[in-house]
Amino acid sequence: MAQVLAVDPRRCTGCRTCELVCSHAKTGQFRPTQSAIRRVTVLDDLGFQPWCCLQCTDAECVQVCPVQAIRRTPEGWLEVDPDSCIGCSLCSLVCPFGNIRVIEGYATKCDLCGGDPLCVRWCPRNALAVDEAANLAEAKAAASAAAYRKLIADQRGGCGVKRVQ
Amino acid sequence: MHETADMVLTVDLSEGTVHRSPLDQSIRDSLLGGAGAALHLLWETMPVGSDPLSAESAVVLGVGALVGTPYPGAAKVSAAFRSPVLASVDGMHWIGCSVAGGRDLGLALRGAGIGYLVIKGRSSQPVYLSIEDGEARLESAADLWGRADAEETAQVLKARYGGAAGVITIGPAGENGVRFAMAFVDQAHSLGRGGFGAVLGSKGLKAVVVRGTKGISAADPERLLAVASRVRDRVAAWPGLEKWSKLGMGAGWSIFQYTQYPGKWPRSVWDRLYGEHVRAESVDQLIACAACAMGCRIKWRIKGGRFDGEVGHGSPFGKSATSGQLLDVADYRDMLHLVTVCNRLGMCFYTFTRMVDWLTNLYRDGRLTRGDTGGVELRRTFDCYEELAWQTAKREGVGRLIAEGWVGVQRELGLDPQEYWYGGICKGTDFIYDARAAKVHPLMLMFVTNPRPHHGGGHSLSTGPGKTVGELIAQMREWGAPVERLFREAPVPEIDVGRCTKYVEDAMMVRNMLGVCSMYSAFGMERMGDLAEAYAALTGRDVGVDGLMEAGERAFNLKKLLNAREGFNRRFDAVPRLWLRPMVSPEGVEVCTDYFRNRAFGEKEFEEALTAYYQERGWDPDTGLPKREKFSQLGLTRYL
Repeated sequence: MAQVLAVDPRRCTGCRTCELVCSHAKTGQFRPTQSAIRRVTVLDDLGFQPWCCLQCTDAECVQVCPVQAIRRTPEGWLEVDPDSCIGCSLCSLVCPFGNIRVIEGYATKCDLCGGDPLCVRWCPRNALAVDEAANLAEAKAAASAAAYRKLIADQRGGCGVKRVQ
Repeated sequence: MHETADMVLTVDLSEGTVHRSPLDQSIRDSLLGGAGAALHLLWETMPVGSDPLSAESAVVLGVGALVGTPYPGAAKVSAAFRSPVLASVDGMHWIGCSVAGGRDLGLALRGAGIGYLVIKGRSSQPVYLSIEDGEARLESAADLWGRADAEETAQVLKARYGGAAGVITIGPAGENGVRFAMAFVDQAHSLGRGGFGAVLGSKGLKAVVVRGTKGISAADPERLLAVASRVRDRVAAWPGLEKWSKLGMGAGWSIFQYTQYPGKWPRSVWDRLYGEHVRAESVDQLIACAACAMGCRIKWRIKGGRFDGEVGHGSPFGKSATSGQLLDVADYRDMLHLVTVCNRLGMCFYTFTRMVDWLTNLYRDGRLTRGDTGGVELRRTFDCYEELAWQTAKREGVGRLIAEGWVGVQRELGLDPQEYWYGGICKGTDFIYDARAAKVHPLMLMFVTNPRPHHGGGHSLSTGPGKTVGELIAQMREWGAPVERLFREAPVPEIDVGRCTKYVEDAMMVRNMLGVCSMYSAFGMERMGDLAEAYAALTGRDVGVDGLMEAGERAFNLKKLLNAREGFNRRFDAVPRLWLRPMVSPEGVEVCTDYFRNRAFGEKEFEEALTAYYQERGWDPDTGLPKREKFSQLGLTRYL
């Protein structure tokens, strides 16, 4: 199964450390606007959302690229080959999440740093994680099921399911 | 660093012109950046004795040298300006350098290739300044001025320029020249409680918004990342981190309820009304500055009460708890609302609430009448406090009086602000802490010795209580301070607080030049050696700890000189008379003592501490001013 970079916006403090270390790894400069991961600010409620490529299974960017510059690695994530990329922006136009952009002539997106992303290592609040989506879902199911059980226990009234006689 | 890291952008609002010039390299080398170089540019720009709210007055913003890197807490932007706060009845105004963090402002200025922003003149129409990749434009603020508060203005501009744009905004208090009006950075960080917002307002400047795409290169990026990691590892190992991650700065309650106790309620009552449980229920999320590994600000959401669901941003708990007790407000949610109101109006919550406490008590006691207040009744109720906030920001009713600040009231009505019962006042500025509760450590003496009567990020290990003399010695030794002259371990541990204050101030200035937060130093997670290494890794200039501390001393002396040429001298470094009187609380009597609470601090001890401070600085103890030799030693003779 392919790995994804999971973000927990509840833990994000908006500090942009992810952008600083990502941009340095990709460009050799601390240049947050060139980062593959971005801390998006939700303005109406001042919330923060780290946002980056979700490594889609059926990726529109791959399909639309006229020079096949975006390829899936054996590990399952998508990488841009800068030698092939012609900077046409089609990938950027079709990405449903705004997570691939053309910067200085080349498509730029998260490549999971080869499986051990710097942003995950540097996030001071553990708001980022890399795992297989199925594992992440499993962990979330376990946590929400536990929360549900606690809710039911606190209410003492049961969960409202009627036993059929 | 990129080639434009030291670019100075000068904006003349009267002429509507913008000018770019590189910072003199000798200034960069001697004053490092941020607050240091900003003070130099202010020296060059602003005429002596000018009215702080006039067109000839200037402000200078300086981005700290490490800002734009992942070094923990490297996000600070300094603002050097002449304060509109009246320091004396004859109209003196101190010159200081405020500092604020922010998620976006520092990074945006770096991205725009601007290291320093000099703003002078006065626009005939309300404007905001937009800077995009170094291109500056003055845009009409007609849709914002008189309509949008500090928060709304930030929201509008971030919507217009993107969520990662850095913003500085003012509210109605700044527009209307309230002498303690502040500006706000990126919605959650205050800048310049000494009236920076009023200075921007007097220039017709509603906001600054910045974005840019440039990056910065480090001379040795791997070394820079290694030293940043080292500091972050200490944060991760810090035992207080878990609680901090839930409450931000509010995690400090167990210390705060002793050091910032105003002495009206028993501590048990205070704890029940303002303690950690009420903090935990209102925190919605933590908000950090750029590159911060901790995050001290919060977004809060009020649960229940009259203001149910109201959201605010900042660091509300300490200030609301102390002022809540002073103002007899039992519901902490009302005080959170008042913090939001003051933030949106764009004025200092500390100064406002304490002036209101003072004036409403004088009114109750009959020393202030309706004749003095323009017919307004000053009741000690929450509704009245909130009404006074609006009147102050708009300069309506009795707000006209409050907006003039402590010495303004003194000038108008002859009431002496030194009679106020909490905190203490020096150079017309109220302190946010009271030394009788906090005890006399270097940060407290700094309120008196710093030309700007505020701590300004001077936190160190000695700011928190309960450290051993060995721990304090270790930090000062690591700064290269002559510890044998500053401490005595036996028979009882003792700090020479006057002499220590010099080094605490210089270390503060180092952090404000490099643009790093003081919290890491306050909790012992960062050493001066880390800063020296980070600075060397970024710039390729290895000046060492001694070189940093000397630059700190140089910049502090420059700040002193800026104030000396205005006429400030030792007479103005007056210990508040309040500190010499006991604080009688329901729990007993609090008096000023030394850090270890072994000996009382009275008038004599304070005078001795001040004299020792001037001596350690190499200044004349009689005048409190730097001597010529000191300027030669620090290479500051060009300013004589």
